[in-house]
Amino acid sequence: MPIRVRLAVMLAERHVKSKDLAEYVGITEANLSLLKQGKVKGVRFETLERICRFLECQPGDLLRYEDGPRTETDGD
Amino acid sequence: MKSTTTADVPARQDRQRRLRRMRVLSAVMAAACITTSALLTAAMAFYWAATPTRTLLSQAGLADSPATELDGAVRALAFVVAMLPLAALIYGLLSARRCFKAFVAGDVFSRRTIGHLMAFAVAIAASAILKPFAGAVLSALLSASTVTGTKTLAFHIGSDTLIALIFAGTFAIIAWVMTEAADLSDENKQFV
Repeated sequence: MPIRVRLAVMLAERHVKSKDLAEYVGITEANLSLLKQGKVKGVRFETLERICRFLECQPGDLLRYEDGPRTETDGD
Repeated sequence: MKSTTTADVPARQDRQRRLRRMRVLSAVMAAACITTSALLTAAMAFYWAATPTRTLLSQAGLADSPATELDGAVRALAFVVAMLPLAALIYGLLSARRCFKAFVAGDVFSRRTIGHLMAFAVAIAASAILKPFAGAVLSALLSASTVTGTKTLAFHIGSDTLIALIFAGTFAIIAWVMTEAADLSDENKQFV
């Protein structure tokens, strides 16, 4: 999928632990890990809002569009 | 720790109330299904054991025939024949019970729950289809066993058969709709 999730980079830059972010957002660490790997179908605005508030960043800092081959899930 | 907007709160409370109602009613329905299954079997056994021969013949469509008393073996055989559509119905009720138990456990959109609902629909249809044939076999059996000189085959298809088939079809469609809902639920689980 050409959308790259940069959450891992943002966490590393801010020296924030996944556990702390997951607790603040109200999702499990397992789901946060899936989100970091870009292995989710979507992100709720509610989740995005909480992540941005915790990391003091913009949604655009977390997501990047990179031109590349479409996967079969892109058309869903 | 999850943020909620003020608009979310009544919607969430409504959902909780709806789920609570569904669980309570499902628990009642599960109990009703098992009780009804037991009562239907007992009533059928009592009917074939205790009903006078003339009444049995009358209800099998052989009212005007002269009759001799039915012996125990014929009554037992008639009970087995009459139990065929009832067994399908009871299987359906037990499938419905499994479905209701799953609802009580909060397992609403799972393939297994939907499978129970589909089994209920198929069992209702099977029972409705078997009923006229069982009736025909019963009329032949009773006339051969009790009526002197005449053999009768009575085949009845009533509005109850058609309504049961429509009922079964409706539940089969609801099960398919629930399959679509389960797919949506699975997809929703992949959103964080």
